[in-house]
Amino acid sequence: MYLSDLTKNQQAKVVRVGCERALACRLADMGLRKGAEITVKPDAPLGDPMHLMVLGYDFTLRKKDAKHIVVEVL
Amino acid sequence: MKKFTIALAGNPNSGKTTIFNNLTGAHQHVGNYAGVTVEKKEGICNYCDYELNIVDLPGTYSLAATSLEEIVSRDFLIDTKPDVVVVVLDSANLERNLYLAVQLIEMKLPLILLFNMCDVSKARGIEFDLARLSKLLGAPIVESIGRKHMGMDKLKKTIVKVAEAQSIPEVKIQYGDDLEKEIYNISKLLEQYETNLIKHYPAKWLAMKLLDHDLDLQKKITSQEVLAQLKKSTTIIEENYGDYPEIAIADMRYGFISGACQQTIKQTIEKRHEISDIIDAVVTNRILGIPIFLFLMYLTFQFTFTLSEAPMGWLESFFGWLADFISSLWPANSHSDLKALLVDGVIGGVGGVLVFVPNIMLLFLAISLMEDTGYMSRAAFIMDRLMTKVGLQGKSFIPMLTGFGCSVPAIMATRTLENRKDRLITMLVVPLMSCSAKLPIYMLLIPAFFETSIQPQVMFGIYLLGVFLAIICAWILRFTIFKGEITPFVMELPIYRMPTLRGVLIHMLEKSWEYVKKAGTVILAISIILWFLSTYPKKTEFSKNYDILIEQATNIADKHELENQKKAELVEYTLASRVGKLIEPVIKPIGFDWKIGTALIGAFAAKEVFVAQLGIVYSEGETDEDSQSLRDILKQSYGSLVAVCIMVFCLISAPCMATIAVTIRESGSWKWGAFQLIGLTVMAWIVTFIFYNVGMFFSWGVS
Ligand SMILES: Nc1nc2c(ncn2[C@@H]2O[C@H](COP(=O)(O)OP(=O)(O)OP(=O)(O)O)[C@@H](O)[C@H]2O)c(=O)[nH]1
Repeated sequence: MYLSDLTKNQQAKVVRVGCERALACRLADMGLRKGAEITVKPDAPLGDPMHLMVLGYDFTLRKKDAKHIVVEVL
Repeated sequence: MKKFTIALAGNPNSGKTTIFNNLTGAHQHVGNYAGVTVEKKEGICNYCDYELNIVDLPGTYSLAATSLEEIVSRDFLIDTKPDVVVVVLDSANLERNLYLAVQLIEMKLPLILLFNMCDVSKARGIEFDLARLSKLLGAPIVESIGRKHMGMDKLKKTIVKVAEAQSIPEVKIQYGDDLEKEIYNISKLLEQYETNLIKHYPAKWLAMKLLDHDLDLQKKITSQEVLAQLKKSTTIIEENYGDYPEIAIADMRYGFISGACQQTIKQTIEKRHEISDIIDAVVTNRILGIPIFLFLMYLTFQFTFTLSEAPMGWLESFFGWLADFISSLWPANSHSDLKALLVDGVIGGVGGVLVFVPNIMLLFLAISLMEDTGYMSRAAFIMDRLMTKVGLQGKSFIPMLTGFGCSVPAIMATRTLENRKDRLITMLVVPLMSCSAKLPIYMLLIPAFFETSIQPQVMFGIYLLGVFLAIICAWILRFTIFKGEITPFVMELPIYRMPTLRGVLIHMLEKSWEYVKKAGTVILAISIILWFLSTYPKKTEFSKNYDILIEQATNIADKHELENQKKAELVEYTLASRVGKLIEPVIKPIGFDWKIGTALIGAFAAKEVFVAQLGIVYSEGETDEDSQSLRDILKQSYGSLVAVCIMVFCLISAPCMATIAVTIRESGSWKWGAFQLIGLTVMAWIVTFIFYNVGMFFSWGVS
């Protein structure tokens, strides 16, 4: 299951971050790394980007990039 | 008096600016870090017998050197060795905020952890065991509520204590055996081969940062032995850990943080940012999101234009009064070049720009309100999908909106775009957002050539054309010069907050100040130059002897007519007109004559000058956008097609000098400034050419 497949209010645990290096590193800095728990909030009105919550704060990520993040639904 | 240097570090939105303002009050100044365009804020805080020089570092999430801000912060901390580093943390969002703190612990600097936003964390039912947490993190913790000035005394006291004792965090972050071993291997080689570098950077830390994929530091390494070892170590870690070393390091840091937090933080009630969630549910709602966004944009402009009308009128009268007052210092009817320079050149030029200050201030007030409440990042979130379609991204939205006020702060606002390509594209197209300096041109021409009923539509059409062209240009740039993927859109959506009056005002004034500064410097200089160009050389021999004829004239109308003829001859003789005539062949195909050309030269310097300059060539003397007589003359001379062409040309063509100057500064190269100048001017010519010829073909507005 990929992060991009999740819909609002679903919760998931990150299994693998397969993004390219710079982004993977940036996401790790922001707390989105293997083992982190993610809550998905409603997408932007036009369907993209996604609105995510990690470590208790909110941030955005495009579906295109979320496609490379493997998750396990909780 | 003892002096200490204190650095303020922290994540964006942690309340750093608020704390900085609390500590320094009005004693601050803003500059740039040497050689780069990252803003450097400094201020003095006097406490007991100490003078604390507070430096506000840029807000960052990490010190990974992936952005200019991060490199600047890191270099400042290493080079200046501040006596104390205060890390401002959003205590309601502690884990992520501590990530930066951990990197400062790694740097072995005397630290203070400021747990800001205590009110928010209390409301969410978070309880800290501060004594234990402080021990685990190795640094004193002070609690504060920045917006209520709470905790500031304790903070100052702790700063002095730590600065005197120079106490460094004694904790050690455990990176695990593999990493530790490789760090050790690299640091040994560093000590051996990079003796100069390690005088500057501690070897262990440098080794860790090299593994952390800090490309900026990697560039500084010259020894092949070190680079070979780095490569080897990287491969080993990748094999053992199954991920890049920098991700392994991030994991260890977060491991350290959660270890410390688990033992010391209790969440008594499970209460998240309820209010924020509710607002988001409405504001970014699938159906309501876009209408709300459009409504807020509409409100912003409505608010800006209606409320600024009155104060703009007052400023106009003030400058009128000032001009009269200065004229009255000379005997009536006398002619003095100095008087003309002061009245027509300086007051006419600078005053004409300053009149727009209320407009700019209100627009920035609205923008600051949106920023400080947290709505602005939602606007970027909502717009991202559309913006990516044209090769921009959500964050470009903020500079573009600011561009309707003034391109100068708008181009400075592109600093939030961390990718250079995104930033350059945004910077280059921002001038197409019709700034408020172009407004007087529209306000002069539209009432002169169009019926009252369609005036608003014409105005709206011009603005829309600008937006449309900006989109096209961004799209073209993205697929030609700036080819490449659009950068990922990882942006924090901070919780909604009630803005404070002080915060919003400071924000607004900082931005408006840029505009005023431009009026005081660039425009002042240009006004003076233009005045000279349109005054000299002075014609002394005329085709008729006007002085005698004027004296002989029997009625006022004849007298007036003769005076105007004389002025016209004078004007035609000046350098400005000669240049206007020189460029006439170039602008003829787009429907302009030399008179418009002369005014365009003025507009080249600053858009605001166009109207005044047109007044001079038509010998109308003092003119502004309300000048009815100038409108009448224009109406006699041109058709409405030419009026549209003038507006289109001014909308697109080379932005003012100040904009070019900022583009050069912010892009770090004069080439981009030149590119913007030439590109926009050529495009203006082409678009106007199309407008003119299509219009001529159908005989629209040709009178
Ligand atoms: N509730 C609460 N709000 C605070 C506190 N301190 C600051 N704020 C608010 O938090 C918001 C962000 O504060 P800033 O000082 O602008 O934060 P910053 O870290 O400088 O953020 P950037 O300018 O984006 O880097 C503002 O609306 C402040 O009024 C606090 O202790 N409690």
